[in-house]
Amino acid sequence: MKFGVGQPVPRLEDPRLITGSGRFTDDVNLPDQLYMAIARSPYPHGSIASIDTDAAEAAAGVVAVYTAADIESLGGMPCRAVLKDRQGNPCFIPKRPLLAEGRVRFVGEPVAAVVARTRTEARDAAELVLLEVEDLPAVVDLNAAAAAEATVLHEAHGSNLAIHYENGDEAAWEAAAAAAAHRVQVSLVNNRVAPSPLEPRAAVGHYANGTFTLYNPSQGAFAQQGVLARAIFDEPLESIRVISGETGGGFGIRGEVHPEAALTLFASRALGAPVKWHGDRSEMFLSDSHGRDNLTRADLALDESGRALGVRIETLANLGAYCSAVGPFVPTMAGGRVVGTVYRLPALYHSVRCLYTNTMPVAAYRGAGRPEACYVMERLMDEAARQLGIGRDEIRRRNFIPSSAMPFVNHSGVSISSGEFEATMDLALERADWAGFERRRRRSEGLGRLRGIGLGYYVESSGGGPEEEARVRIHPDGSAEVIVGTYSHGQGHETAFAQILSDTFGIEFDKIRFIQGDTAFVKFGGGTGGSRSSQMGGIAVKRAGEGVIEQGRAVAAELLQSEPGRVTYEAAVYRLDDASAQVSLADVARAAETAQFGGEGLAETHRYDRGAGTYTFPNGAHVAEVEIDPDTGVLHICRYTAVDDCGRVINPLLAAGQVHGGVVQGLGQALLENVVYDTDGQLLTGSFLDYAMPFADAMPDVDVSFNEVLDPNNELGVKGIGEGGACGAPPALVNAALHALASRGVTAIDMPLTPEKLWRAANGLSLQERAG
Amino acid sequence: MRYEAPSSSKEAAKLLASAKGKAVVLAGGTDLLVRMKSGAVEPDLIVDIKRIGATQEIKKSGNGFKIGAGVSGARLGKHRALKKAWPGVVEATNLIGSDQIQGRCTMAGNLCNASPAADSVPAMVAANAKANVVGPGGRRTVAVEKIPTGPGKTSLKKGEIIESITLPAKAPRSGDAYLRFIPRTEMDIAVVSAGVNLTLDSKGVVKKARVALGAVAPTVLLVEDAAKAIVGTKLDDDALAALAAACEAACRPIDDMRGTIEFRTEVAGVLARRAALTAYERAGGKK
Amino acid sequence: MNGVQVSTTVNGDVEEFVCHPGETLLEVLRNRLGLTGAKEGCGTGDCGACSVIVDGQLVCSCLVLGAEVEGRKVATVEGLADGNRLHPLQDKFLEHAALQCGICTPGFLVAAKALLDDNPDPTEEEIRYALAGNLCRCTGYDKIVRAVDAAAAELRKSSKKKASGRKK
Repeated sequence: MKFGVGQPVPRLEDPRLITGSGRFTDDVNLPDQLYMAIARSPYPHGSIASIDTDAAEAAAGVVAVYTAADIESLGGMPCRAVLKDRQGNPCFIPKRPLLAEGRVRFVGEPVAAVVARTRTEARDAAELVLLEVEDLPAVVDLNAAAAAEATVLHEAHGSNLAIHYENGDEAAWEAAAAAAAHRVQVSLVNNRVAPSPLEPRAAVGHYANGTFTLYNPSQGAFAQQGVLARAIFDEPLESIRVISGETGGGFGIRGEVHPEAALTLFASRALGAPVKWHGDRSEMFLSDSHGRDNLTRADLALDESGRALGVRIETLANLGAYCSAVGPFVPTMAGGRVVGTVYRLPALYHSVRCLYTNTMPVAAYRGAGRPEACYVMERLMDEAARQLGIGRDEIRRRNFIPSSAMPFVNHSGVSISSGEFEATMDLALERADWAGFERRRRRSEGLGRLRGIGLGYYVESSGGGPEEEARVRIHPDGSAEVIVGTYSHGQGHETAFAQILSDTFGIEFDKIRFIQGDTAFVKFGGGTGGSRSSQMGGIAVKRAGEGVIEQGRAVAAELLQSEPGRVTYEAAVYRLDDASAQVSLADVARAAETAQFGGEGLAETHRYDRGAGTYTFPNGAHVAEVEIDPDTGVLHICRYTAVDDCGRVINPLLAAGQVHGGVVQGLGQALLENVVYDTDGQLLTGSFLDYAMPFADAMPDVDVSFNEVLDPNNELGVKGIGEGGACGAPPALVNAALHALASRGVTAIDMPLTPEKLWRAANGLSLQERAG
Repeated sequence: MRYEAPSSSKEAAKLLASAKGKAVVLAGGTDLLVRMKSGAVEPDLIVDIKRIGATQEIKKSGNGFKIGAGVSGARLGKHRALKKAWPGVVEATNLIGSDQIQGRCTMAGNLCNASPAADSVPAMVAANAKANVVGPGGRRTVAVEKIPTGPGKTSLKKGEIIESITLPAKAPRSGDAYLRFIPRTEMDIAVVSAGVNLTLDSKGVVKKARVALGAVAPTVLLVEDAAKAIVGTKLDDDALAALAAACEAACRPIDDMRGTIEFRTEVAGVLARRAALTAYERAGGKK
Repeated sequence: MNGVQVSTTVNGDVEEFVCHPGETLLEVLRNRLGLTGAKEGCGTGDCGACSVIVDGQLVCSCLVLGAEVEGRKVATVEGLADGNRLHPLQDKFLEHAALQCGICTPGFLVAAKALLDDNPDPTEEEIRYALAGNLCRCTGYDKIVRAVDAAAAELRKSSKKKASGRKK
């Protein structure tokens, strides 16, 4: 089928986006709307002595100014993470207020909301809000936050430690380490990144006739509705309608409900007019949730032949000043599910200390915990290969979990269901011409440049929440409508799901209408994140479609005066098995709307339950090849190869696009991107100039291919593709750079690999850059 | 706030001189509008000089090229004769930001921002360019290196604007080049940069040299010792090493997130050396 | 405010508006003229999402004052298609799935248009450098580069046809 699963079908959503007529939240303007601006804390840490709003209230055009005292009826922003330490103590999760209460804990924390007649008036007035604090020492560094004498952010708790998460068996690790012929240690920084979708956050809140309506970019409107209704407003779910129009990228941040969205609703209810807020970029750097930010020490024990006996991984994870919605879940359970990644590790001990610091809260960022887990193992493998004098591919070969051992239960009790790690790696090595590297290295050497090649193998555990819902309806004209709880914000679900339905029903692609992101229609859904949409939404859509066909079969049987068992379905036609009579899908849909057939029409809602604790395991091998100018530290990516196993590829065009995007984000983290707070807690990276994201000129052509190993646990065989690139690229790139620098005696370097860092490494200078 | 777009430099100077409150000159606006957005500057009067005929021209004469203060980097990059005569200056100006920024940014604006990291300035200084200034007291001509006096500060007096910049006529057997270092290849601020302008004699020996460094001091530096290090040589290895050493010795950079003192200093030498080789080749020198 | 009266041409249509002296062209397009194709990604000229063409020159509309476009010709993404007929760049963006979330897409299309107007046969490197004023966080740029390359080929083919048509 031309538009079915597996075809490179162009996207249905594109025409509006390429003509400038896509409707993003900032393009939404309601009659008589007011504008909100946020006054933010310029202080990283302090007790609030006073907030003087008089001048702001008196400013031109100002309608209202709110501080925490004015919104006492509202709850805080909740954290969804539920986890306990080994002793059974729950993670300490402090209240995260919409507007600062009592203390400010990071630069950019919202202190007051100012509503005025124009955006400029609101912003000008917000600058007049006077915040006075008694300064407290800022805690920025993770090691400092963990120290016994550290200033405590949340005094009632007594320390900055939210939870000490442990997994595995420390005694077994000790025994493995004692018996080991080799021990390999790495100390790693997984740098803090700013997810920075290109659309700054925006919200339009409108309260009318007892109902709240929120226009807000998101990764799933239903989840936002739940948080707003239950945790923040304490109102019935149906009293809040969330509409997410086009959403300009997510990468994790839009799974969060940020305070500004709730504040527009609050202000609209109080003022009787719609209220719009639109953040600018510098505000986004201060107030979009950040990603990553781990310090990790890892220790690998190996036998004589380079086979791993065990690993110990100890991480300090930065939560920021409060828990985001997923905060402590990301570095612990999310990454922990694949701890040890694709390798057989007889013993494992995993320890994560989640700490509060005076920085913007950290949340999910593309991969959320999995890239960090993969980075640790891939650096360990390369370091082991170096120390043992074994090939970097060979050491992986000796330690991969073989397909024959699957399903393979890892140390987190997660069952890795499928994957051909060695075969996938071999495909990548071949496409990258790993074997021919030496020739290319010599050529670079002749030009005075250092060349290196590196490998990053990743595995993810994907799927997120185990339930997802889809509703499929066939209209009397034979067209289909599908409502999903996932939320496409660039992934192209409108296309992919239509492909699945086109296959299921045998109807034309353009007869399928797609609805998402509006809670007036979407009654359940986990949204998009964790590479879950094709496997979760996709299956819900497929099964709902199949349910509709079955429903229709019963109707068709009656129309054809026969038994359902004698009715076949193909390409929008129900036929008797002897082909003596037939009725179209449209006719059946029309009949189903009559009283005779109950009048409900031909529709089915399917809630797919994958089963708690089960996941899919996208995996892949990425190879980066780089050249470094030792005199300036400039690194050039010469070649990049990705071979991914995302299970069945629904649409190669879209899947490759996900790989490209993930890889470039991963390369951005590895090369350029770094959120920097100075030692006083001031953010130094507040613009696209200071926070460097990759542009087209410095990014390589990415050679993308797939090794489709179908997932055995779902009928589509899909695994997910959204995050693999962000997992594979950082280790591939760093391993390549270290390979290039090996001739200069360099064995360790931390992301991001800025030219200065590479220059220092290449010239034997201290890697300790000036702090801040 | 008021916006004016006068049609003559004299009129512009008058507006600026008589302005009450903060008055600013708008050429390409790529810096001014960013500073207005952030609130760093809140002007009461904006004088757009792009409607002044003289700011829009590139004039070639026996004395060289007169480049209007409103001429964008993109236009400069398309001017064949200018590119042939002063490739280093054109390349340097074309390095200011992306194509979008090139559509607006100007050499004069780049000079008046008085950023030590301004890309076109080291190349202009190496080229011995002059700024043609118009003010309430009439016209004057100033060497470009005399315009910036410190980060964000210029020697221009109230009411003065730069109407155009003059690049001298290209001497026979001369060539210029500019190189900079930035963390990304596009769209970034120079961490260190070097502009070199050489004139050779008929034997390929450097007769005259001007070497300028950017982003290593509060203003762009004209490094005379660096020029001395290569005059009378054919840029042999010793001369290049002396050039790099003189550049390093002249550096007084800051330490910040973008680059440490150590890095800026050493890379200044590397870039000066590489720029000198390019300039030498452009001057017709054979290595 | 000292409003500035401006008369200009946008996508071939004469537009007249009064704006604040400090108001950017981006704000004018979006808020006064209802042309929301240009997007604000940063407001400081670092991302290219607000790219438009003024008198043939590619610019960030966030770094141009509305007052400055008096008598100029402004072209935005909304004017790229010819009625219902998409521009070859738009066709190729579709065909190559060169966009994901779409927020940066209008800026890329306009920047690519400016490139191809100037250089009908760019190399891959030239495309990558020409588009290096536009940030995209979703696509990794690969498919955008392919789409621009394909559109350039398409445009060359059709201009050749036109040229040979004239000869006859």
